[in-house]
Amino acid sequence: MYHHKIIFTGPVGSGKTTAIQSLSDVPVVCTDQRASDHEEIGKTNTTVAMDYGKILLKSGETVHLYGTPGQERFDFMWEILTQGGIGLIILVDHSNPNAHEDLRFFLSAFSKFIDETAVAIGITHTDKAPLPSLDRYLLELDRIGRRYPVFEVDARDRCDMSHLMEGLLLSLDPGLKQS
Amino acid sequence: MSTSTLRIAMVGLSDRTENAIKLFLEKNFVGIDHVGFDDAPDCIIFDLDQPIGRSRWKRLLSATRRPCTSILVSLSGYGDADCKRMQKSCVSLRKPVRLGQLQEALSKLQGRRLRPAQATSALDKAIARRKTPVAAQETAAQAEEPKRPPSLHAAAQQLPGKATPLHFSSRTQFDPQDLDTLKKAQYDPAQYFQGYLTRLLAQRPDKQGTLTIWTPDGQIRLDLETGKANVHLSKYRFRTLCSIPSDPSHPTPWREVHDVEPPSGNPHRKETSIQGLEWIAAIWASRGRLPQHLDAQRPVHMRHWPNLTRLTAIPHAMNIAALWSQNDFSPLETARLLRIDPRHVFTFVSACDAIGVLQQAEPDSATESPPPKKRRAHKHRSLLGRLLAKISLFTNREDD
Repeated sequence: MYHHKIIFTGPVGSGKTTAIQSLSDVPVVCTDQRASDHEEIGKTNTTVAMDYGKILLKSGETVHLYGTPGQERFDFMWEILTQGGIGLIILVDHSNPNAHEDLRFFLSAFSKFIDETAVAIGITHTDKAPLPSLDRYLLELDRIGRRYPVFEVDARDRCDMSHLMEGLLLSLDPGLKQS
Repeated sequence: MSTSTLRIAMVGLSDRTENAIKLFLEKNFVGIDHVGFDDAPDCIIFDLDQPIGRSRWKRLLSATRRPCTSILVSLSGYGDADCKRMQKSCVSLRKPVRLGQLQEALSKLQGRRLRPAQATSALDKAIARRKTPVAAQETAAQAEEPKRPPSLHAAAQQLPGKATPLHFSSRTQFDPQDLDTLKKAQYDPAQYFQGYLTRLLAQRPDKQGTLTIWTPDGQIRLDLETGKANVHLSKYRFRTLCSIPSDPSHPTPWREVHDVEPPSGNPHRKETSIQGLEWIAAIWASRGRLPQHLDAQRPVHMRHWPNLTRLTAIPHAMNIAALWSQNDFSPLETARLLRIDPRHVFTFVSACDAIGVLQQAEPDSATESPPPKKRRAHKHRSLLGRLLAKISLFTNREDD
């Protein structure tokens, strides 16, 4: 049976687990462990293998939501998780001064998968940062000549995350209609 | 435009009342076209209890000795004196207006030569070609039981909140091949609050300090440093402010002052971003029309996606942005490819243009995009459509 998957990635603390919790119709399976480098990454627990949730459709089909671990030392998981995926959502923590570099890193790390599918970029924690501007991310996309959807989102807000997902789906097929 | 179409405009009426009247007219007449005040209507319904309705009625009276057919609605019979003076071209109705009264007023105006012959004949034809003889039905019903026709409010209660595309100044779809109609579907942003806001922000490229815009109904505070805007106006007043073109012969209803705090305690205070303010001002100025400096038939280039989670929703905005992120298309081509009403595209173009994410190549430049490639649907389109339907349940937030 074919598994339809949407992958969530981004740096540590960008809100991947929360985003999947917002969208999932079932309780999310997390592989959180106490972070050995919690002072460096700014939180006590972090995902070490993956987060898993799912969206159940009326037709009985299931869309699986997979969240990658944010730390680079678990990057061997990324390729495994993206296999057969239909699209990628990158979440970036706006409160990080180097957030645009994080974006550049993840766009590069998943470039092959993005070229084959589509990507939507969610900018999280905008309430913590002093200015609302998304310019630095847009400049990053300009640099590589891409026009991907970049939206401010609150990972806790199902409405925001649904909008981001909508941006991803329509990037895959702009003529898509609800069915 | 067909010669038998009756063009009706409404000024100052609330959304629900407007929707109720539109629904009533559509159910009972054919050939009715809902247009804006400035689109040369054959008949205008004014709410004289609203400042905008009253001022526009006065302006119409001062501009022409023989204004078009008008129906004046007010609580206290404010328009009675004007109607007596105007005699045949005007009917005054007191609130609460009942649909039967409105129908009677339209019938009363039937056959009166108030505008060019074409318009009057359109009115005649529209009324004569009623789908159902409502007047006869009502007369019969009244004979059976002394029941009054439903009030506008009662009719409005039956409408879903967003039953009609209020973004549009006209409900009738236009023919994209008709260049004359296309020209009419354009507007000059400089004449609207949208243009004023653009000019005001352009004067402050340093983005320092704050500005307060004073309007007769409230204030708008712009914090240029943080990019935040505080709107001390009700949603309805703000929409009216943005939708009405300024009259070059009169001072504009808004002015800016520096370093003055708006009075506190306004219950309608709403915080947004300055970009969000420019976006919504463009939506209400556009109302389904294209800014006149843009061409509906030339490709537009979207520099990047607008931040759609934080901007007022426009129908099909995501589809349009997704299409433009893949290639440059003209507004009309976009509507054709996505099979949507061009007015949605025009509204989106206007809003994107206002926040500076859009540009259009010069007509003689060599940067025009090649003919669009045939797009292929995604191999899992059916599944994606079902997923889209599922997540759309959670994307309907209250509009600004």
